[in-house]
Amino acid sequence: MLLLNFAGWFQARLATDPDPTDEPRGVSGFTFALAGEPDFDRVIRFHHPVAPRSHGPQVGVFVTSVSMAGQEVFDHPLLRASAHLLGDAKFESRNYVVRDGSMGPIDPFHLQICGHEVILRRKDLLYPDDPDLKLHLVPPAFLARRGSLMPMMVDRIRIADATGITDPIAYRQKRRELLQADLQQTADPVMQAALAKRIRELDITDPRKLQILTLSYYNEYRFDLNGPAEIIDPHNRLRGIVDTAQDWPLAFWMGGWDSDALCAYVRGMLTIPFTPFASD
Amino acid sequence: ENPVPDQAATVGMLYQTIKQGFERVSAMFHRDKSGVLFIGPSEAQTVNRHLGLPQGHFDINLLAVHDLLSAGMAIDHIIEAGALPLDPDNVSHATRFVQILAEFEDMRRHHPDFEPARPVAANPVTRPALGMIADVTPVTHPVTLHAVTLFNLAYETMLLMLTRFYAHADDPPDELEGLMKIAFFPMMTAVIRPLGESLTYMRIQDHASRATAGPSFECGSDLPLHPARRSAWTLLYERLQTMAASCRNLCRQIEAVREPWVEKVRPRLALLQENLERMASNFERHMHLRREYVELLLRRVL
Repeated sequence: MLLLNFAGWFQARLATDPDPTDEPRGVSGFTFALAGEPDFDRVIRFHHPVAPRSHGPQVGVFVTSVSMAGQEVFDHPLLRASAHLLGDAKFESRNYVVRDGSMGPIDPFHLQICGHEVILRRKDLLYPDDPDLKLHLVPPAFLARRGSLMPMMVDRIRIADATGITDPIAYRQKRRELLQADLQQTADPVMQAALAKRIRELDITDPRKLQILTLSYYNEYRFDLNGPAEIIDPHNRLRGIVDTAQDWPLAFWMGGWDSDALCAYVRGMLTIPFTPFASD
Repeated sequence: ENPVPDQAATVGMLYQTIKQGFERVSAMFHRDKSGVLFIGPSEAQTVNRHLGLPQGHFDINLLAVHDLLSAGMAIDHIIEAGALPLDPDNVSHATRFVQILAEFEDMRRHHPDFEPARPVAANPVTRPALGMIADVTPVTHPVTLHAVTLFNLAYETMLLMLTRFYAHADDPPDELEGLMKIAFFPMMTAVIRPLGESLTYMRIQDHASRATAGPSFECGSDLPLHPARRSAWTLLYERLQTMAASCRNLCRQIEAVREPWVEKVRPRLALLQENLERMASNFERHMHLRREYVELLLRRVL
């Protein structure tokens, strides 16, 4: 088995309850598209963020460790490889229509790991009997399989360990100070409007408010990637055979939602059935 | 005593007057021992747990009112949560709107072409003959008329759902939950709001006017409140199915329209149609309606 641990910040520019799923700017929830920014598109981006916000976390999800047969491999070609979600993946709860709260599936789910000219890609099929079936017609059991295992839970230790955020209020206060300094420096009215809005939102310090709470929330996912796989390894750097007939178990959590930066953290493990060549 | 309170200078002061009214009536009841202030079981009132929300989530704090103390707490909460000023000089939602109006008027003075709003017509109606207001705008664009009619059906259905939800007495908890899971987020957030917003892009009339439509909230005076609970669920399910079918037809009609607003509206209506189909099947499942159909069929056969 090849075990890939991955982690990092991702961006998701989306409106939040009680805004509708397709709300383009954010009105009633606690996330907003600012002056000068494009409309929300809900896409989960592990890299190449759109309109990244100043002083936010650095977006990028990477493989942090690789193990084979229980041993960590420190020179594996996939170490520090980038992880991507292809196909404009989105959280699909759809205001409690598809699934409750934040428990909706991420759809489509097409994971790519690439590094040192090695590319592994695998899709997960939400409804294997009809991969083209529209999301709203998929039976509940299949949505539950791909969705979060439970409603958003608080776990300050998990989030702090992953992100270093031990005090959400202080974290936001620091950001506010940086933005306040930026506001003093800029004469651009669009930038001023955007910064002023961010500062007003960061003024919220009530620990019961979602802006604060969601920095300590996480969702957990666990399913086996079951769809078509692609292995691209022109220089045979993997030095073995990846089994694409078996499913690939995947487990990950997403949390530490930074509503100012529109980013959250992901940490997970992908298990790939793998047989090294005999000489190894 | 004069039952009509003096004119309150602010909304907050009005609520304080209401609170004082409760205190006065309660004192009267205690004086002549004629009865209790509030009747009806407090367990029939809707509180946060009925909505599946922790206290304070989305700023929702529903309190059961069963005595003077809880009535006072509810009023205090309304005043605090609504930022209703007790002092006319305090900032409140109302004063914020007044400020926005002042900024808008100032902007218009410097930039006469500034237009932040869509040209929504006054009082759009689908049935002008029944209109009680003099200044109405009939919806005559055929696609828009279809959309406004769908909105009204959704609005009526939501009212029926909310009436049954708030008037719950001995409904099984799973059925109450099934009703809650449709009436709030799905109906309000995924149907009423996006459809209402879409209407403000759609031309209201089928001639050159650039005025757009909006929700008309037309509602028949005879909402069918079916007394039998299980039958009411069937009625609501059929309404959801009707709405899904109507939306499907609306999406087809939109495809034939070659007007600029279609680009904004098409994706929203497509999502709405999917959501309505899903909501109908969710409701059928939550309320065990399929089992009921099978039982009815078996009873007829056997």
